[in-house]
Amino acid sequence: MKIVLKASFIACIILITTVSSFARAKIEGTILDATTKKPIFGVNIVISPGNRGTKTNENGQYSITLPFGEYFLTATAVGYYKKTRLIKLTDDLVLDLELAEEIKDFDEVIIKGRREDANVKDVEMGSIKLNMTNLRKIPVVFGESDIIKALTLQPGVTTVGEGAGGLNVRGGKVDQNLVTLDGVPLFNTSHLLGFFTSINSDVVQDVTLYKGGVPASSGGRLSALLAMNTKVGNDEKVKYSVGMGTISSRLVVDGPIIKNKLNFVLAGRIAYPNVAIKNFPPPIGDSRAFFYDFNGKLSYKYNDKNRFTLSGYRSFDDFKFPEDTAYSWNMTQANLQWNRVISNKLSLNTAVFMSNYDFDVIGLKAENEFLLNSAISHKEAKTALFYTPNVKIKGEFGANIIRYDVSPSDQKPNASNSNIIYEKLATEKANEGAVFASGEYIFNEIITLSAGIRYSFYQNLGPKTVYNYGSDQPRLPENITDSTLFASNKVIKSYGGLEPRISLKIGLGEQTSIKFSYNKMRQYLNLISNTTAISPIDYWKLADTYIPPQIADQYSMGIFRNSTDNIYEFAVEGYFKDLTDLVDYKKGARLSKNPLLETALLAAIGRAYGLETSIKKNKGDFTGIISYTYSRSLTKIVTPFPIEAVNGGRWFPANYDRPHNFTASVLHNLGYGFNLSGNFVYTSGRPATYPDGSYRFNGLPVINYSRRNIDRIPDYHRMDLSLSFDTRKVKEQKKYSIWVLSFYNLYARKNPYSIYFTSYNRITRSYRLSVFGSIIPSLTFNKNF
Amino acid sequence: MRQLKINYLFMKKNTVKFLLLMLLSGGLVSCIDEIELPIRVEKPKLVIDGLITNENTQYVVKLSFTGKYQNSLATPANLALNGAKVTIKDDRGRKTDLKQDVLELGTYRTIDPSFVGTIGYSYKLEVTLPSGDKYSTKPERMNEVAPILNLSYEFKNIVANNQTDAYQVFLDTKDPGEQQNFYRWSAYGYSRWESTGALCSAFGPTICYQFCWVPTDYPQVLLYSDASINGNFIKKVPVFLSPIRAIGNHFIEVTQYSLSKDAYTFWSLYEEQRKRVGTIFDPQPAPIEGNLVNETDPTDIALGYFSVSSISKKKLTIPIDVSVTGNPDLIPLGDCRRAFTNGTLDRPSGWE
Repeated sequence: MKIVLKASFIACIILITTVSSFARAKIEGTILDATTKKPIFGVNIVISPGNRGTKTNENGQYSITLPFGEYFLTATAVGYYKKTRLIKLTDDLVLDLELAEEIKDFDEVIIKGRREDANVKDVEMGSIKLNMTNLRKIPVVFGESDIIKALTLQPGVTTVGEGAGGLNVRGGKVDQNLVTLDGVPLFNTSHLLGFFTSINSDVVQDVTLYKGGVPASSGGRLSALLAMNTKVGNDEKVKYSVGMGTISSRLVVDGPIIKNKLNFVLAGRIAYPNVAIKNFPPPIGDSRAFFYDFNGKLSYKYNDKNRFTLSGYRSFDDFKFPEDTAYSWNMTQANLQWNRVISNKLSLNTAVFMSNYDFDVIGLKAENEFLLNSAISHKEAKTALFYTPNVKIKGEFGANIIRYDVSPSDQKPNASNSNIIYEKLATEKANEGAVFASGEYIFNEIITLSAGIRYSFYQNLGPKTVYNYGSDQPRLPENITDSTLFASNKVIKSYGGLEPRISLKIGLGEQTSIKFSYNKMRQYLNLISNTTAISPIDYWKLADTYIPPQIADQYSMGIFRNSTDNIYEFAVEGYFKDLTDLVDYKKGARLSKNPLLETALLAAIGRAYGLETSIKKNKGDFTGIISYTYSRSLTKIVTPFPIEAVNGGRWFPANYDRPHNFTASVLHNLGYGFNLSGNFVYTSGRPATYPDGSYRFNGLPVINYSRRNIDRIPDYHRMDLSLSFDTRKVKEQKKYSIWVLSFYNLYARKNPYSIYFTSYNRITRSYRLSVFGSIIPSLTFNKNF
Repeated sequence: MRQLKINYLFMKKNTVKFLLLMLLSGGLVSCIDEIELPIRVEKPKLVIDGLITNENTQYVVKLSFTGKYQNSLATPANLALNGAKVTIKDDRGRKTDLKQDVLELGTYRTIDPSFVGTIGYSYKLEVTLPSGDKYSTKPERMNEVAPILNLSYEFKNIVANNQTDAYQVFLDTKDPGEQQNFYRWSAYGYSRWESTGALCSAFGPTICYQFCWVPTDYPQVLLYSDASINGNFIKKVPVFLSPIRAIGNHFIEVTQYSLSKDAYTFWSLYEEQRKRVGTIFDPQPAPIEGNLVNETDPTDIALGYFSVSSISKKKLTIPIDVSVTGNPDLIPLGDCRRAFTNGTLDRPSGWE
């Protein structure tokens, strides 16, 4: 018997080797998510025997050529159950697979890379991928799952304070992040001033933050790319998911319209703090706060080669304090995408989209009623060709063109007897475009190189009156010498340049690698804001004659090591950033409704550097990440006129410079559907300007602040805890609920949000203001059916 | 359903907190604690506080240095700048020296009664410190100011501890359309205040000194730019709050100042700094530098401002209304002349 087996085995080998020398065939196919039917990128395809493999591309496709024979093909991807198929290869073969999402992903860390060993094996560095399944289990304030707040638990990501909108990535400003929803940029990510993120996390499928190593296909912002993609409707039946929290309720509906042809997703979220506010006596009862957001998507599969997606997004905010002013802002996005598979090596993605951001300040004071509007509109067409000739080479080529229209300020009387006059600042217009090419080449097991080049260009267009200032004088209204009038669509000023993006991976054995990357980025627009946090009245400004594009060069290096079957991931990343042509503000600059804005601005340079270290545990009942980051972000005002200098023309800390940053985020699977999750955050206080003298003027004591950002508010630390319960007994269960009980700021620390000084009874006193001065419990409920 | 109820309770509890935190940006703050933080003291800087108007009066310039202020009304002796040479010049070749007040430290006054500010003229201030350092302002034009058209008032119910109801005074004016105008308003008033009083004499039970006339000022800096209303009416500007402490008249005077653009910028910064509430939505603080600059070092700019303004004034008498009375909790013991700062029995003159 044994002999027979052995003989057949040998015969088999002979047969295979013989055949293989003559005949080879190709297996190809697409790997889809079993529920969303969306292609999965980066699925590991392993062929055994032989231990050969490949990965799927952005369209979920793979292809591998093998000698004729019998193989086991195994597809594995993070967050999915693996699937193995026996294949008999006698001719070219198409094998499409659907992977089911691993719902018992209590094994997963909160945030992780694409593959178990991706952090070591891939050339990519400085990127973070959020695990959307676990996002809901992270304790958050008021129980509102929040993508941006979850990212602040990651190394290299900070915020200026609780309740501040946006992110500061590796010492960059909030407006230096390109935040995209299905590839379409968002110009404001906040609901209610910044307490919440304007994206409903229930409808988001994946979130990737590139802190460095931004792909050549993206550009236009200095610091980071935050790419969020929404879910695709399922093809089986209409499904619902509802959620209720202390602030808002959410609904997601998705399903087929025409089976396997056309499906949809609709999602909405509505907030109801107003209901409670109305019950208060004035003046609190006169306040108002409200928001909603809405996402919709239609996916149409024309045939196997062509898919079309139409998606839209709308977000609205409105609030009023018990004073005479109300604020309201909204965002609108529309996006049409066409994915075409030309061959198994070549695919083409084309999209046309627009994104609008509008905000209104509404004056309600009798006889002075006004409406002050500011808006930015972004229209873009983008196309990219993906080329994957074999496992080792990946290429992408493309181009995009953007048209910006900005209305910085438009003020109207808002009642017939209002004394406010009509006042509109000139609108701004510009084109921005880019061509890009990038390629990734796996030289061998050790070296992988990814190199990209992007050429971006920008044209500020008329009509516009450009004022000229005396060359040896500070740029001030009184120093205007003459002006030039540019006709409509005439190019006023052009900028442009190359933006290389290079990453290199060198493997040091199976478990360790060292990576290097260099990035150059250009940004042609600025958010004009002289406050520590971005505020709803900030507005966008395009680069022009006096405001050149900001440029950043980022150099980074990292050492990555995994151990014990990728259970533990260790990473140490260092970066250095050089920033030029940043926008800063003169002392006491008037930014609102200023027709000569250039006279209020100063040019600055920046420097940011840091070292990010993290340890992750990826598997087991106990998972999590612990990280420590040391980073600095400094600014220096560049001006030839000493009178304009800030802090004597020396380097000083940027508003978001928080050197020490320690975070721990852990998740413990208690079994029976229960999960316990905890966060601990410690950061240095942000820089602040404290008084350094006082005097009397106009009969009142006045505090003097002579040096900017020299002091620091006290350190920040906080612990949160949450307990979640998932009613699913088996992974296939369609109807289930998730309960999350969370406690934010568990030990009720009165963390300083700001320190301020005020004179009372002619004595200057200092006060600490805390946003969340106590423990904040919340309960949220989600039901899927 | 039961679970929904729990959820609702949580919602209610948190909404209150949420509300507080939202209101924080509007000035009402949620969780504020006083903390100990010493004020850092940098190298002292020169501070100027001066004004010339078209009113025939003594013009006052105050000079001091920045430092640490204690609970005192006057500038401490060590911070007042004495012995400086202070001169005001106009653009027609006239100048006048200011003389230091012997009683008030760091205070300088004009002594030539014929030196009166004239609309359309430009004025500059020159200061020579005892150290020899010379400072001067850029000449600033005295712009014309529109007359105050009307003053009106409304009863205002104020619900707060240790507060009384008050009359809110409003101003109306008409902005001239031809040029850019900037305004500042100040106001003061007198009203009758009540204390328990004291015996008129040792010989009888009659109570005297129960009602005094007490002056009130309005510590707000009221500024306005005509940028949004150019040429239109400026209506119902709240310029004064007169506390009701007893039945009686209220006498109010409001002054309207013209400001140069630079002065307006300065005053706006001054007011913004004073009103800081410390949220991260406040603009970055900065030194409130004005128009007095060291002649040899243009980066050495004094804090404070020497203003050149023309002024218009208007008076208002609020008639007696027996239905409005003071807060009985706010009637102090004793003689009203002592119970209230600057309390007097004499009816203020100048009002009808």
